[in-house]
Amino acid sequence: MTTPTWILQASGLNKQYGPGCPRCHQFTGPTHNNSQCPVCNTVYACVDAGFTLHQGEVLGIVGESGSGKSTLLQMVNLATAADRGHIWYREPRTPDAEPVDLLQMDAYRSRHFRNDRLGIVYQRPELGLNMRFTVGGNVAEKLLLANWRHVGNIRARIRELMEQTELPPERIDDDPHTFSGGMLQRVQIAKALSSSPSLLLLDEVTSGLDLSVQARVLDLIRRIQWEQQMTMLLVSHDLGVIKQLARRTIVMKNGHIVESGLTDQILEDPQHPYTQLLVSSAL
Amino acid sequence: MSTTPEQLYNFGFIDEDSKREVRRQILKAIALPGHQVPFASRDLPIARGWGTGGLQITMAIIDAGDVLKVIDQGDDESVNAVNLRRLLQRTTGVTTTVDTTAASIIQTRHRIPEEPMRRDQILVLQVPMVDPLRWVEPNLERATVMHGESDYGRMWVYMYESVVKAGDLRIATQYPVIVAGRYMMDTTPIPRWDVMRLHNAEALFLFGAGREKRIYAVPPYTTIEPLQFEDFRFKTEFVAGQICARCGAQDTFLTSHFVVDPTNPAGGYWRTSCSDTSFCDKRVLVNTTNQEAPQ
Amino acid sequence: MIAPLLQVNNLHKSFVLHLIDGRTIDPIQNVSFTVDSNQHFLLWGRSGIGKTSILKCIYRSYLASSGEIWFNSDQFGSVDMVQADDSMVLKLRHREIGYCSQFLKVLPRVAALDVITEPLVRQGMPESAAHDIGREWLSQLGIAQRLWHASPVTFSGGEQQRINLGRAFIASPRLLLLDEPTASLDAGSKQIVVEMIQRAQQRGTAVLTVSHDLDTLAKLADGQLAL
Repeated sequence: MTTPTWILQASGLNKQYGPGCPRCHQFTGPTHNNSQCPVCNTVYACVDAGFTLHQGEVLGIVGESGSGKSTLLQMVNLATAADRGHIWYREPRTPDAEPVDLLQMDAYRSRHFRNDRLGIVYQRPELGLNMRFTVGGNVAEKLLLANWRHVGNIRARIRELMEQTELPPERIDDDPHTFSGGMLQRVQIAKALSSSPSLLLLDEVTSGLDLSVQARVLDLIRRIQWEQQMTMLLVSHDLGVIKQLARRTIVMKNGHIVESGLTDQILEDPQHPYTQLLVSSAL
Repeated sequence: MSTTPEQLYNFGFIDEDSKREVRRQILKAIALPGHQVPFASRDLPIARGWGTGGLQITMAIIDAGDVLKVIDQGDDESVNAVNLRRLLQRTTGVTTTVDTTAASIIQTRHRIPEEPMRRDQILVLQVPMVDPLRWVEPNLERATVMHGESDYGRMWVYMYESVVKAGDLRIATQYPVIVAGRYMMDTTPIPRWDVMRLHNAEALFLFGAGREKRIYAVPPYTTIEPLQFEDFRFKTEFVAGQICARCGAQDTFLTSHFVVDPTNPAGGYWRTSCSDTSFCDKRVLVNTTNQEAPQ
Repeated sequence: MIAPLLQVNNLHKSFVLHLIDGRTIDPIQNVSFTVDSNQHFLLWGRSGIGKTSILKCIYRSYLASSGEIWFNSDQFGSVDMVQADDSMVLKLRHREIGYCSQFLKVLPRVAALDVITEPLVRQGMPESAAHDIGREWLSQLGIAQRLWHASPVTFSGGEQQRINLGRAFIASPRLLLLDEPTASLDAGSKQIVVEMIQRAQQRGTAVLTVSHDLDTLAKLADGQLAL
């Protein structure tokens, strides 16, 4: 019996905003093209979502705005509390240890886990960075939380991360407002990588960047994935981004996973009507 | 029989129920060292921000047998100290003193007295700002969550930034500390000189903020760790060579004021003296006795 | 008796076009054939008959509607590519099954040398060693040395197709699926393809080719199926 290669196994994840009522199921879901129950106004952001993530793999989550893909990502990020479900995590550094359910951890351990084992990059840099701190201070935050207490060592590590993400290390003490959008995404990536996480969460990282910058940021992400065999969960509404990075893809609509499979299969032989629409709408 | 104005008030000015409420929050604060406990801050005949937090704590815990000392900036005779002492004395009738060793309750703003405090003494501090996270997280609700999860990363970034921008930790006062390895606490009123004097001290320290409606405490023998880096350590305001002009002390917290030369209005010098006046007076007295003794 | 490398039984594929009133089309119906190790198997027929769809069903770019596709894996034993889970398919694609599409699709920022060596690096070969092999392949494929560090996007159609094939052959999979390998190639390039197929067979790779170019490929095939 070989050790399993998965590092994350999510099942039955639910997130709803509102009390719910007996008639919700008659009106919500992809078949009704609606996430909100017209009777009780409950929003079903994510319903019974589940997936398996293997070590070193990039899993894409695609769907339109409001389909629940970011909610799903934030539940894995332990920032949004799931109403129900499990997220089993197997530490890749200790493959023989028993998997733990991330949703059963107390607040203290879950915060530590988030800081130490997860890295996240948001579409909007203000969400991932504190614009009042310097670039270096932002990258340092996870190190400081992990009890790095030597300013010299911290700065050496920040410079190393800046080089890795193709940022000029001499701008370590600059104000993030003086950085361009693409550079801010690199700062976010440097911060996310600072703790050597086992899972990188990417939330629409290249949306809002112009095309040439988008391509360079994606190249950086691909290089990191390649060099560090980084496991990634990639949320995007852009099939082009998904195609470049993810080998497997989940398609979401109205809070439900409507289809999942190999990315080339999703693109070439989409099964669900919504996926077919999505693929046919690609530019 | 005429009623004196003082008898119009309950012992310790505020009513017994309010005192009980304050005492309950004090007990909670002692049980969770460094944790800010909200309390129902009462209206008092002085304005909020002038020591009402400390005053309410003192009023809630004072007993007829207590001996009270009130200081402001270490000084027993400054206006605020005199006013607060007079209010407490008139509404309770307790004995007051300027001698730190004789007092059982010391209400203070800005200083911990120089003489080591004993286990039978309580120091009540009047706190202007309660939350060290206010600098990095203005939203109170989010800051509370950060305290709850001891999520102090951002505060550490603040410390890192202060080193990067100023070349050293540039926090003058309000030095943040970790209490008993758990909560981050603002040492607001006291200078860095006094921060480590909270560490494993014998006395009980109670912090009250009337405007912010918070109470927190450092119980006896509690560890206090200032936020510092391995290569940038926490430092006090000690300046080698500065001594008190009155008693000659080099081991106390000094304040300074500019003395204008009467013969030359453009000239003058900075005169340093002990911030803790009663301790300075004691030393002056000892010095004079010593000088007289050999004769 | 040794089980064949690939066994396709009663393969059926239909597409439901939800965007066009849920219309159904059935390009593949009841296709069965067997490919042995080292064999060069040729599927031929006129365009639009579903030849490519069969390859894609085997590679799992398409989900077969019914039937079985048994692949005899070195590592995992017999695997039904119709039922296997995605991660199993990925593992097989990684080590044992190669696919070469009709057109090269690469990012316009990746050099030819990196494109052709990607499968080797992905299998864990150090980059320098992979590049040595890659240079050898590129010169064998007749790609001028000055082009090695340029992106194949800028190459001619024939050069692109040779790179495309080279990338599929370089990792020596156990089964190689070739989609119209000689289309759009001149006689010289076609000869290179023929040699590549022969050499691959010598190294133990079974080749399943879909083509209508019988002139070039039929003489190589030791098994065929007309659709």
